[in-house]
Amino acid sequence: MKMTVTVNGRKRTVDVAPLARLLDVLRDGLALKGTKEGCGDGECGACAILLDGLLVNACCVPAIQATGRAVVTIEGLAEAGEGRPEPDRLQQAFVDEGAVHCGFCTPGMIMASRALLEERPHPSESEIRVGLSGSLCRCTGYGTIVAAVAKAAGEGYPERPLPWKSGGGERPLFSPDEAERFFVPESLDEALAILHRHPDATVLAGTTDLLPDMKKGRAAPERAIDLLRVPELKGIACDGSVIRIGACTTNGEIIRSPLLRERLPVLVDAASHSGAPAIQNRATLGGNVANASGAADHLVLLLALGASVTVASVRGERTLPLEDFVVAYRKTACEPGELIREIVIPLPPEGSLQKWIKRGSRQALTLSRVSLAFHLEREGERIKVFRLAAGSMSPVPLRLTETERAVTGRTITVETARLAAETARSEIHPRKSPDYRRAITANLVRRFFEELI
Amino acid sequence: MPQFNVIGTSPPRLDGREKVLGQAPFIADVPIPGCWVGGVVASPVPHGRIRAIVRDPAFDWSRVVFVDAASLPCRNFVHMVRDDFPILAEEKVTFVTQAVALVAGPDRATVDEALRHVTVDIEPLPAVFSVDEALKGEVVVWGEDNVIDEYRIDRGDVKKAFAEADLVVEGDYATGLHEQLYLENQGMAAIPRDDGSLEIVGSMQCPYYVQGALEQALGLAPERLRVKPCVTGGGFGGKEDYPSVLALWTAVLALKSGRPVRILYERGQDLQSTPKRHPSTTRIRTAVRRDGTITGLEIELRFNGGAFTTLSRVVQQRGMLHCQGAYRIANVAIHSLTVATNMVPSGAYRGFGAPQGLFAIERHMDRIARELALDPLDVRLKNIVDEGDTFPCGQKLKGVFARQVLERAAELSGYRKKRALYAQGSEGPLRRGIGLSVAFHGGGFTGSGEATMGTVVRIDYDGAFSLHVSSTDMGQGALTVLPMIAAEALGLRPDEIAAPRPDTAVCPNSGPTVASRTTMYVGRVVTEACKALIDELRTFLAYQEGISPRAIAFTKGALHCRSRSWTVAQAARARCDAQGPFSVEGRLPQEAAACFNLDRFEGEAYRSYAWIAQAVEVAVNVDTYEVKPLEATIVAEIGRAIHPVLVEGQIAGGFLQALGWSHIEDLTVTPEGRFSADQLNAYLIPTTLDTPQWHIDVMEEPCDVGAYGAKGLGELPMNGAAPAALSAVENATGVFGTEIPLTGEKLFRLIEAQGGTER
Repeated sequence: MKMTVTVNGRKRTVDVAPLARLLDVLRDGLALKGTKEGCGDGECGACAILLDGLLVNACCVPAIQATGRAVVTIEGLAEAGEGRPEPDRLQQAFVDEGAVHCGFCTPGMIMASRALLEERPHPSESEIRVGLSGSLCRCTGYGTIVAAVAKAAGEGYPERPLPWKSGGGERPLFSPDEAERFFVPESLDEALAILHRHPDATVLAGTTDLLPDMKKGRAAPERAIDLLRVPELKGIACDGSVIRIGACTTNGEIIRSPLLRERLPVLVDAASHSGAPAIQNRATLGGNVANASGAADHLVLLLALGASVTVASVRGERTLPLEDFVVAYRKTACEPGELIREIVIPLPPEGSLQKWIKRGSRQALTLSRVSLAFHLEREGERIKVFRLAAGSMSPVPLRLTETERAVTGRTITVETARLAAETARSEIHPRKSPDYRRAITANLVRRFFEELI
Repeated sequence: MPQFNVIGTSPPRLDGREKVLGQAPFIADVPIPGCWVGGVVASPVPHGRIRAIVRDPAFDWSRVVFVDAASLPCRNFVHMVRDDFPILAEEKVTFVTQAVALVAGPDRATVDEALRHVTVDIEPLPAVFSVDEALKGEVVVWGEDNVIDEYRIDRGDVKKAFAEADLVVEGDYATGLHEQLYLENQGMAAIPRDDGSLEIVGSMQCPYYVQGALEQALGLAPERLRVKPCVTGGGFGGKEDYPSVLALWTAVLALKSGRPVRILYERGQDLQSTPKRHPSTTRIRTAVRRDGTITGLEIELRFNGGAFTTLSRVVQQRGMLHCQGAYRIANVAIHSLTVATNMVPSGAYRGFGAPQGLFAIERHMDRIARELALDPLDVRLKNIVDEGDTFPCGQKLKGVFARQVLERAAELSGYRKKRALYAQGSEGPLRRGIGLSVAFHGGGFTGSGEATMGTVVRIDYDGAFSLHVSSTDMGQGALTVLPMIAAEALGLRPDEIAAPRPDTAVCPNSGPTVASRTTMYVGRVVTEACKALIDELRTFLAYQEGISPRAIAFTKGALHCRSRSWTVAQAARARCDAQGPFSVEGRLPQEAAACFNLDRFEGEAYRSYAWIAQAVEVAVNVDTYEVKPLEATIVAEIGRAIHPVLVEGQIAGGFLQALGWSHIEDLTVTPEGRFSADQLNAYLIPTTLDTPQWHIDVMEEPCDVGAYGAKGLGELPMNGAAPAALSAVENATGVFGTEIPLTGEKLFRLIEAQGGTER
């Protein structure tokens, strides 16, 4: 296909495969070698760039989705001096503070820093650490990097906001063969009509799993439909007693949503602890649900919140409780021709309590070993409604209904905490490391209630 | 304290600009016209006899070149410590991923397609992955008994010490695989030139190792083998040995195809097939007095070497020479083994055997303290090595600062108060703990290595100065620091001396970029070259002025005779104008190298040791068994900090690698002989959020060997973080970890076995 993309302020047109990685388009197609490949899995941040002003890993963005958008690479930060580029203030701060060692993570690290400073011109140290948590460095111990970002921020960087936050909106120009196989619908009806004709087509949203899988030869979609240009699949809205979140809403959008921060902060919390910024800006809520994985970060919380899923097809829409939607590991109730339209979450009643906890193998960018989500409503001293969901313990996340029943109606006491913990311990049956996971679950359930006494 | 102009300042690193602009050329970035892509046919089994390598005729093999052991156009070994590592497997494979054949083609897709059409027919043999299994001898992987190397040190009367001991304290310790995880994967290209010579470019630490391996296998003269490191994206030892393998593969493919060939590893391939830090087990017995004095020490140190020798012998030697810890113990018996298994060969990783041995002895000090109900700091101070003490190899020590760094780290971190406070426990899920360790590292090659290395450095002047070394800057800053040393010696500014990336056609052999030797030894040789330069200029000026060279003095960065003076730049310019461009060389004076008897394992193991102590503070979540490092106080005595900012970077970076190893970097061998991780979500290194706050304090007590007193630094911070972290976990929870990584699950089991953490 012919792809037109605005790179560092210049419109560029290249011939590429629709699912080519933006990383390869930049490095091979446009000879911009500053963006590095450290893993090809979205796990290191060396290829981080800005796409329409947001940090993403270029290894996880397909050309078909980058078309018509604005890309900024490390080469775009340098200020054009007399004939040769000069480091900008941020780049210079990296040199001055000793934040550059081997230099391989440096371009991605600088792009992550720029993205952070665009959003928070005066970040605290912990905000800097969070902003860079998806960018691995093996040389420095990060101290000098954090100092460099703080230095640039202190000097008023960036002086000007990024000028390239949107592209020309061009569409991909497919070859006749590609036009039969790749689709970029711009409305839900159009998307559903295509999906009706090609029920076997792969739908593309955040592609944080798909592109790494393709690289490893584990996936090779014959047909694909890009959903990111469908406005109906985007957005967060409060609708009476429910919150509706479009399937293609990203974790980044959830984190930045004033509505969710106010009305459903637990979802913001979960989104913030899923992946790291560059992944959050790509990974979608619908994708997390569609994956139907036992370790999916959001599924656990959505179960506890009593969420449902609306799917759409040319035949119309239907809404299913999440429990019924996720049928088995990697299997949902989506019929051929259907796609997830939105997730519907009942607004938690005033005074109720939600909590989401993830235990990964490190503090950021990690798969969960155990995750738990709690929803609690009280009536006076008594537990009126209690929902508890657990992830990473079974092929798909589960509601722990025995535990829920055991404590409903009880007052919150040490005894209740113990009962809940022990019921939860015996209710889960993790396949790997069962006693370890049971212990963590029981500890966290007990702690949840103890903290309420 | 001497006044310096350049030493002790921290100018911006010379390669910083091109790196922040994204212009630094790594091997994947270098345009090589007409370059083919190389691929490896890898063994799917850990042990087996090759019956046949079958190429499917459905693929058009004229599109690619194919090489197996039978068609290899050269001798079949990669020159390292022993020449036992074949370029391509011949009759047997002894580890998963071992190369059986090579393919090169015009592009990735063609090569992948070709690789899919090759089947290696292998008769599987039983495989062993652990040292214990391998020592049973039922499966022979290497040699006759799987023992790659064995060494002993016996000193004093160990029997008597144990017979007279108040207490015998015993312990078993283990360390796991540890992946270097340089951010830039391995990559190499070979470019055949019209004159029949070969040019090798790639990511590497040791251009002359690569050249040597090519020379030995291909039989080409070194002048016809030009090796040029690209910008190298991290090494940490991982690019010491393996680049020689990749260089031979690309060279063979280039010779066969007549085209340039490049192999760029993907992360999965890099994780699965390149050498890691040797897993180790250590058994320690100590004879102890009630007051904590150690009178006798027995150590059995075992390394899992994987299928071939690679650098194991030298790793083991260094392990042997550090495993007694920074302690004065009169009666010592150390026995060490490296054992072959059907694992990917273990190799070099920062610290090179020392971190394994030091982990064990430092945990053992904590164990002694525990058994005697003493504070671990007091047990250490009771036995700490001081000036004039002797190490088990018989080396009488000078320049010892173990006590000083330890006491200072304890003081700066508030260790005593915190240790007592945290031991009382606390409410809630978060328990804090603090732990401390002391360690050291011998700078430069072990034993007589520096004496036999023949390190040479050259300075050219052709209107400008350039400094030529074979040291690679893989991030540590060698090519910023070495010109600083020259600038100091010559009274110049650092930016008046260019330090180009090495190129064996241009640079002399100043040795490999390993063993914490670059600043210390190569830097020293830089100062020797500077002396030669001054002598050269003195001779020239004397001739020009018609006076004796002795009448010209070099002080305060300038040459003076009675009537006039010249800066070095002026003198060099005059010399160049009169007689043309010129060069000088520096070499290591013999007295700067250690003298060691390897057969008896006795003598001066290293000319100088650098010292380090670290206090680590953690928060352990006893609900989730997570360990979060909060603070790291590190005091290091390194002789001289040439570039203080880079020094701190080395310390924090090395320390964090060791901290990762202590609790989150978890890599094992599967029953099929593969490493458990083939992507980065399965091998986790610390992120910004897994990193403690740094408090780094550097002490400078110049040694008489290194440049301006500098000691080896690069590996030092790897040596003590892990035991300090486990001691902190002990302080927080009461459990005594003996094995790293202490993952959440292992911590859970220890806490369960203890019956919880409530105290």
